[in-house]
Amino acid sequence: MTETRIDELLDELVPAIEPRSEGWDDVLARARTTRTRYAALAVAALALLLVPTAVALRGQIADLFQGTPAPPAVSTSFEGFNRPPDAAIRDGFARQFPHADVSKAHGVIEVQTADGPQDLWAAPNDQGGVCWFIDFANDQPSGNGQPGYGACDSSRPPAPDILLEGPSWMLSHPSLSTVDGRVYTEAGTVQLTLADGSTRTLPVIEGLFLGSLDEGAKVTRVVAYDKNGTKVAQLTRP
Amino acid sequence: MIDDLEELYRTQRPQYCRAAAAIAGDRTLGEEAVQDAFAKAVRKRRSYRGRGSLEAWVWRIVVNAARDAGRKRRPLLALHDRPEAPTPNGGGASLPLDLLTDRQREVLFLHYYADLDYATIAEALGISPGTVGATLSTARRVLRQALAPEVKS
Repeated sequence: MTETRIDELLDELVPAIEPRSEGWDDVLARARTTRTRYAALAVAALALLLVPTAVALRGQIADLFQGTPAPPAVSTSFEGFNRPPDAAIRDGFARQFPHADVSKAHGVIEVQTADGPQDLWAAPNDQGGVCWFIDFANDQPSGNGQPGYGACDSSRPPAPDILLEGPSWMLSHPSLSTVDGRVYTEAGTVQLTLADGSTRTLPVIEGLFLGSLDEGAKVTRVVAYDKNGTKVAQLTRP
Repeated sequence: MIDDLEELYRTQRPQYCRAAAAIAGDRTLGEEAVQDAFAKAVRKRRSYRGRGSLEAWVWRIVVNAARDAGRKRRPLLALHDRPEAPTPNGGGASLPLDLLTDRQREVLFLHYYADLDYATIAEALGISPGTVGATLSTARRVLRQALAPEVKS
């Protein structure tokens, strides 16, 4: 009897709410509004220091991230890539640098870190290579785009077959280190060997890989494997 | 992912709104909290890691939004020496919710209004399923005891 009375009073407290079909557009509008407000918030940006330090890998690969169109803040960051080459060409320092096709910027790899998701975005460039950009999804964008860093390459270099960047760290995420790079041959995974002898295996997607390391780690060797597990390339660091 | 969120919104909005209204203590605030929570879920969808259900992840966001909405409302209640139990319907509900802790109320609301199982409530509130069961049992016992004179009379 009392149980029934409790249920009756709960129903009186908040009567049933009828389903309605509208409302989702309002949700999307609210999502867009806040995003725009964030983008308008100011300052700072690609504050990053690339320092060779490192740590032990933590990271889980998200497989749903690949192909995600780059959000506006990330596109702005890719556009930032193109400004220094433009200036160098204008000033006569260089004839040609890779320029990212920002309209094709997309997600490639997402790993989970202690500071939230860390993403690798990529866009093809006009030199037959790729520009890639790494950020932390939870960082606030500024007028210069999403905080982060990256690199561009041109067409396939003669050697080596593996390009390893890092371990690097960002000022805003000092307890994490990041390794990233390219494999210039058909590969499905890379295995990193750290200075303490431990190994980490990372997927290679669109020729790129990304891993999050703990502070202090050092990578001594990178071996790339194809999808059959056959070793296809190796890079050793002293 | 957005499609999944939209599906969740379209099929379960009444449950979200009902529970959020109860937590916020106001029906309009609850509905607003649900809109804001889904907007946040859309923005933060990349941070959903696939651990646990999407539904529970959204519930957690909704509960937080409803709590925030309720806190904003609280200064009005503070005008009274002893706040009455929230009355989202604006009517004279006599359920003595002020006898319950915040957690007991939230577990009760999620279980009753949203018909969530213990595991989903646990994920949404960041507690264990066992705690959900014990908390719900305690909450209903407190309400039963408080309502007993009313029932007898």
